[in-house]
Formats: sequence, C-alpha cells, structure tokens
Amino acid sequence: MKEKLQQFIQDELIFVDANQFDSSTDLFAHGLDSMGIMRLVLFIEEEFQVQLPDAEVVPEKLQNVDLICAWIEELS
Amino acid sequence: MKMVELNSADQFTLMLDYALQQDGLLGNYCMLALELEAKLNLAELNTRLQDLASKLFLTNAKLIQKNNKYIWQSNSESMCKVKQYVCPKQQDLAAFSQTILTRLLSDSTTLTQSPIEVHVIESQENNIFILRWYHPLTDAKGAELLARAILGKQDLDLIVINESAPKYTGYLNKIQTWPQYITNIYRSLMHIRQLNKIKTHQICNNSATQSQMQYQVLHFDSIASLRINQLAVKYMGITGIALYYIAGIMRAFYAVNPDFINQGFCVPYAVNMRKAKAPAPIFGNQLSFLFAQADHATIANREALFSHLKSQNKMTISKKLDLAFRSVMHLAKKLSLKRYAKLVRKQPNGNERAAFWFSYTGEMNTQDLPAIKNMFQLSPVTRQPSIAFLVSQLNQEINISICYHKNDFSESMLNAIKHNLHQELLGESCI
Repeated sequence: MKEKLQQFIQDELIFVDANQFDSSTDLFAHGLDSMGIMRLVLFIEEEFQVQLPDAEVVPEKLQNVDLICAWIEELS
Repeated sequence: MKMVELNSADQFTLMLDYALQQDGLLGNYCMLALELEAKLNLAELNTRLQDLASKLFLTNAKLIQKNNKYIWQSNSESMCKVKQYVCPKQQDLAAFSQTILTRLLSDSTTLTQSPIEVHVIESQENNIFILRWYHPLTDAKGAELLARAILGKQDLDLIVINESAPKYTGYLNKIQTWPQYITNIYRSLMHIRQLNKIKTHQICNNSATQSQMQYQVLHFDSIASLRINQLAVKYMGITGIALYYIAGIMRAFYAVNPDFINQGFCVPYAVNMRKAKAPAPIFGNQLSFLFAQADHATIANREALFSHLKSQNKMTISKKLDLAFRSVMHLAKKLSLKRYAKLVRKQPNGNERAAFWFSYTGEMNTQDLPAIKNMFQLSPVTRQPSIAFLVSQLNQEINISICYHKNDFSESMLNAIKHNLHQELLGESCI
C-alpha cells in the first residue's frame, strides 16, 4: 500500500527528488493543493476500495503517506 | 526542423481562439501581470528571454496548419523581445497600466508574431511585468511557470530537462483501445446531453455593435482572504475550493436577475494536471475539464448549491466523465475548428453552454522570484458569455480579475455583481 501510494504521489502529484521522498515527507510542504487532494482521494478510493467520508478529508489525515496508510487501514 | 503537435487541450483553446476571432477580437491571448517591488534590469531580462528561446524552441515557435491538424514549428524569424512603456512622472501608475493593459487586450496593432510577449511598464519606483501568451501554447499555470523561468534565477537546463519529458501531454493524448475510445465518446456525448437539459442563463445583453474588452480587479486583503479560504474549506472541503468561487459567482448573477424560469448556470472549469511546484512542463495545456451546473431553484438555496456542486463534482470524477470528455476533445481534433466549436460549446438552441468563463490557479509560487506586490490575470472572452472570472492568490491575498465586454454590461449591473460576489465569498447571502 505504502509503495503504491508513494509511487502515485511522486508520479502524478508532487515534484520531489526520489531520494528525499519517504513515507514521512510532508506533502503540503511540497505544494499538494486542493485539486491534487481530490485526485489523491479518488486514487485511494479506487485503488484500495474504501470510501473516504467527505467530512473527514482534512489536511491532518493527508499530511504524509504514513498517516494516509493508517487512515485507510482504519477504514478497511 | 523541430515540430510539436497540439494536444487535445491545446486544440480546445485553439478552437476558442477561432471563436474569439469570429467575434472580432484578437484571439486567445491572455496576460499575467505582476507588479514588482523594484525595477527590473531590462538588458538582463532580454538576455534571459533569448537564452530561454534558444533552449526551448516553443518560446519562439510558429503555429502552422496541415489540413485540420495544427503544429508548432521552430521559427528563426522572430525573437521575443521586451517591450517597454514608461509611465510619465505626473501620471498615476495604476491608471497608466490600466490603459496599456486594456490596449494589449484589444488592440491588434500590439500583437507580434511570437506566441509569448514580455511587456514592462516602468515607473520611477517599480515595474509591472506583463506576460502575454497565446493560449494554445500553454495554460494559466504554465504561464506562471514561464514567468518564473523568465524572472527567476533557476538553472534553465533544469527546466529544459524536465520539459523534455512532458508526461501529461502524453497522458492527455493517450491512445485508448477502440472499444474504450468508442465507449468514452458515447458516455461523453451522454454527459453533454445531460448538461444540455438545463438551458444556460446568459446574463449579458449582447449589443449589436462591436465591443471592447475591459477588466476590473477585485482584491481581498489577507484578513478577508483568510476568511474566504476558511469558508471555502468549511462548505466545500479541501478538495472543492474552486467550486466555492463558482457557487458565489452563480449566486451573484442570480441575485441580479432571478426571473429566468427553467434555466440555470453551466460553468466549465479545468483541473491542472501538473505536479505541484514542478518547474515544467511549461508548455502544453495540461488540463482536464469538468462542468459545474445548477438550476435556478438550487442556486437560490446557498447550502443546497454547495452540497449539489460538491456531489456533482465527485460523481463526475468517480464516473470518469472528465476522462470521457477528453475522448470527445481527442475526436474533435479531427474536425474543423468551426465544427469543433459547435460540438463542445453550443447548446441545441445555439447559445453558448458556459454562463461565464472561470479559472482558478490558487497561490502563486514566488520562490526565487523578485519580490512581487500584486498580481492578476487577464483573458479575452467570447461575446457569449461575455464575462470571465480569473481567481488567483499571491502572498495569501486573493485577486479576482473580471474581464468583460464593455458594451454588454452596464456599470450598475457590473457593480451589483461585484457587490453580491463580495458578500457571498465572505459568507453572507446576497439573495
């Protein structure tokens, strides 16, 4: 899960050197914006077959890959 | 000779260029204006521009047509140079720049052969940097990257390396299998048919005479901007900031004229497909298209409108209708610009589907740039819908440029729209 998420984020959403990107990297510090979040949410829902409740899509849960994985596991 | 074919989103903006010219305008030439804190060194700026053109041929390319296909071709004839305007000592910089920008928006004698132009307005204390760009070459976010490449101190080779792999251009043009392609075309045509069920309310009064583009900028200070951003997140969530503005504009229009029965508003808007903070790709319209649509009954109820737009947006993306629409754009590349315009812009009654043009580019990345005091964007717009709203943010302060046809909106109507929009964005109902 972690690898798939990291790959998607790095390929599609943020511009970051692969050597400086790990599961604790702050995505917002790298410019993740509202449209990027939407694409990330839809990727998660489709790839991991979970529904992310709209009201819970907040920056605190999407700050980095570790937090996103923990949230997906919680919802699965 | 270097050549690049237009991607399907580029071709969409070329179709709009055709439509703008049909309306007697210059074409799809947009502008990004940056008021700097200090003065620029014009000699250095010219050198940087020439370096950029020598490394990225699209900066200085010309568009050629081969049947219905359009191609950028390297061009050795023209070279983009900085054009300078000096504000007279006794004149106010704001008024002087408004005159220059209005001229650049409308006057064909100001156009050069280059797809990008740099204009600098000089006053005693500071400069206004203006980038005029031909939309088929790039989109508003690409124009920001281009301005960064011209004004910033980034290594141009780094930009060239990243530009050489324009991933999303490939993504936008991605060839699908025939069954996928045909299914997507069908789904997209059904999507368009669904959009056509609501007749679009055109608010302007198209006068018969030739019109002139004009603009006004709504500026929100940092406190008001913070409030707007908080309200946008509260009502639309962090994924729907652009929709908060669209809802506000819909209601601002509705309040001016609520009497149209069985009508509503349809607003196409684009999603930027570039990676955040990437220096490239600069060129190519790296966009995916969505529509926000609501009938009058929904627009009349603020919270119902928010909830409707949000769920409509989510449904469109989860059903991949934005991707399906891209297939129609891909198909339309094979058509003449006239037929393309009819397919994607018009409703069966012959009216424009868009109630207004809208763009949201979010916060501008100013890293490594000279200090900027203010920014805004300008765009021409066709006679229907006759008005465009371009939202951007600099140093946490929001700017909304309203570009419109002077003869199609009375001053009182425009003031009412601005007043209503101000109220709506700051959380007060204008209805």
